Amino acid sequence: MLTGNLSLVRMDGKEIFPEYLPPNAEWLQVPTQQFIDWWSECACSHDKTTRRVLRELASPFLNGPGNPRIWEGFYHILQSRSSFSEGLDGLEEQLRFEVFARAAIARKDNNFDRTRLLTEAATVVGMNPDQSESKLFADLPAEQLLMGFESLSSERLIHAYNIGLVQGILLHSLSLVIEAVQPNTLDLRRIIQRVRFHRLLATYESRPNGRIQITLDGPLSLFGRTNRYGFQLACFFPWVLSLEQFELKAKLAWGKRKVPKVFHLDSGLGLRPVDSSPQQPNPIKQDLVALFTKRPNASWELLETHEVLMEGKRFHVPDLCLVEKQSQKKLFLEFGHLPKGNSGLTRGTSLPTTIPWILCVQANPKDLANDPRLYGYRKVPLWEEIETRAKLVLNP
Amino acid sequence: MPEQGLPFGNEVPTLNEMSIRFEAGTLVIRGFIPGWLQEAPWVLWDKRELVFRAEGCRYRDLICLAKENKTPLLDEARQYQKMALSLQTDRVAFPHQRDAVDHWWSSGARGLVVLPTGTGKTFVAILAMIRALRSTLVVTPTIDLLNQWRKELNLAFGVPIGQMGGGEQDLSDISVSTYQSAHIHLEKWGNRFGLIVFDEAHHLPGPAFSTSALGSIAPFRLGLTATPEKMEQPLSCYDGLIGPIVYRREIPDLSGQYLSNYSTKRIYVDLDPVLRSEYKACRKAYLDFCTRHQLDMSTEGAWGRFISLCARVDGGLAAFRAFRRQKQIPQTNPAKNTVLESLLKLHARERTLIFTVDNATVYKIAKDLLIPPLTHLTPAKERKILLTGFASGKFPTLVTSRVLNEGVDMPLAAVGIVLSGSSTVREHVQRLGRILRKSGSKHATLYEVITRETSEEYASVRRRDHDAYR
Repeated sequence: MLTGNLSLVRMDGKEIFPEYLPPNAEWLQVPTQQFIDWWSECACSHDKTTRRVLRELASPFLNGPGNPRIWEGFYHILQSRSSFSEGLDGLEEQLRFEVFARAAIARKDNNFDRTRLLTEAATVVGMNPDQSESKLFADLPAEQLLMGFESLSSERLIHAYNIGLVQGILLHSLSLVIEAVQPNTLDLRRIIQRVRFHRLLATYESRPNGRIQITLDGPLSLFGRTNRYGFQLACFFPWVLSLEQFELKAKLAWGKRKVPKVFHLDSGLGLRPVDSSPQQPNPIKQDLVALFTKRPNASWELLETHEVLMEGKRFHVPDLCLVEKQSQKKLFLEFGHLPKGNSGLTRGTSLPTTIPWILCVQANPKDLANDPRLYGYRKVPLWEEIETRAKLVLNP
Repeated sequence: MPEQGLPFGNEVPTLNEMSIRFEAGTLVIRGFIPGWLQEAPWVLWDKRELVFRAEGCRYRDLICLAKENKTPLLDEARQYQKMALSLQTDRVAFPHQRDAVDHWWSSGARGLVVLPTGTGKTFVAILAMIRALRSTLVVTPTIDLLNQWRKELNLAFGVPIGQMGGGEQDLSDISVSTYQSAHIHLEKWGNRFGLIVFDEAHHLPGPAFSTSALGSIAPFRLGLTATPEKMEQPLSCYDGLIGPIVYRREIPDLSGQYLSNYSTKRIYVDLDPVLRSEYKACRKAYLDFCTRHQLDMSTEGAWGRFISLCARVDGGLAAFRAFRRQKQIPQTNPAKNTVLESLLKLHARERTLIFTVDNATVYKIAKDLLIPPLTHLTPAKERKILLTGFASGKFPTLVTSRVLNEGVDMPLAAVGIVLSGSSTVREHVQRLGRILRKSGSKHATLYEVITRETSEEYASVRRRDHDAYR
């Protein structure tokens, strides 16, 4: 996500245009590839580089062709794809004070022994003495060591840059309308699941010509938590790019004065998601299927489903379908998350009203509404519990 | 003859009256436009709005010329107050402080007072405020200094002090601000202060920060610094912003009575043969690269061209690494650590500040010798604990790169050890200033540890080009 100074945009009347970079331009590809190669080298090197030194060493690259802010943007993206060593919850600070105070006394007493002082101080703060030297400043961001890097090609870096520009713009949005043109079921399921995963506020509408319109609240339409919500929206955006055909229109409140602006993007522009996004298998779902197949069941049949079910202006994407053998009645199972403070879900009002449904969430049952359709489990969902609830839902 | 502008504002100027108003750091002049105004080179015709405009800092000239030429004037620009200010403490001014304010006042209450660190520049500003009796804004380079000023002013006048910067935006008749905030906001409140004080005024003449001086209408201006000289800029760079130097005293003038007595010592160390040959090879690689690309590193903009070439041409990255290494070798020469250890033993009972050129060296020394580091990375809470610990003697030695170069009050520091530094005179004088504040019968000592036969020797000669070292 490129924000602040790194957000390079131009205005034309009410519309905002990001200064996209051409992913195949040779003048960019060669130096960006050099930059990536150098970064990978630093990440793989035995002599670990701190963030501070990394920044210093990168200065020749930050003066590459074009606007220096483009290169700052690349730096930002490479950094976000890197992993750095982490601190130990305030222990480092305690260790420092202990070490420095002891060292000052020892120096006065002409009794300075570095190894002994480090060992003593580490023991006092409850740290492994072998770690004391490497952890002395490990909590300072600039002193964190580059441990790994998820490399990418220069073309992908430029795509990531362009996506970052859009994400930066979307942080200013009041609302966002995404129109998916004749999406296939899998793509639509994925988008709806991501909307829910990122806890975005959305309404859906089926439009003529097989178009599905998703209207999302922008971060600036909310009163609080705009940063967190904006971050979630930015994380969601690359999933939109996986739709084959789409149009995106955003209403923005731009700058400190919140000037009304609009932003428009469609699939014709050729923005591509940087990382391939295979559907992550849902471990809970897999466990339940395995459990079900282990013990033959005369009453129920469990089926995988890839349906998108519509109910009024809402879409529902079940994970499994449970069929009562005798009556052939269907009930759908969904494995979801329980967002903090989502009173709609805790009251059970987010559930479909006309489709037989059970939503399984990992939560304390006390936090959920007393509704058989809402199943809160501690560690793993229990098949017996689902069966009991399924009977209640299908035969109230 | 341009068309006359239309009247504006709350009051309407008559046909015979010139009117001025403050707008985004400039003065908009409308109504009656006298001949003298059209001749003033600093007044420009603004075609966009069909008005005359001048920079905010021309307010005083404008008022004086209007009075001189008896031009009737409607002044809608001025929003600052006359104040009744008196000192709430029994602090008595030193003669050099009184002299400084007298000189400043008799020079039209505009100009730069140059006094060494530790000789009470803050109190000079307080005396100037009592003389000017106008709403005052003090502009400082850092949040630490902003807090220090706020405390001092509150103590001196017993009134609430406004603050712009560090996340606060609370203006009052006496306010403090950082250069950064002043640069951003002065176009809005540049007409609210009659006196503007620039602390560490050598920061002012840059392209960004100078806008805060240009956009303010304050007729009274005071700059405070110990080191007005800026590389590649004449001292006249202050003239249009604050005024010329009106009073100057150097360290030798005040040492003994108002500053501690001091001595400076240079200690030379050698590189071991392995490092010596690496240093030579790296320096050669770097210089060869410069020669190959016709770069004269002593010319303006050469550094930018060097960096840019390093990213683009074959062998550029290797040249950049060689450049860094040939800088690093003398700075981190292990022999310096040995000297440092003996100096720390020698001054085991005194407060000592160790200065290095960069944070990498600070943290290396901190790790090797277990001395607390103080850098811009040090969290605020930890920084406070370290400074308190330094005052109490719990942490009698601190190692730093630049954060202690200026401003922060450390009267007990008696020993300074410059392990590495830039070649700028200002930095070196500021570092000396850190240990000179008078405290009992303290004798201050500044050591400079230099790696022989490297670029450090040259840097040391350049930075000592000041009376304090002669």
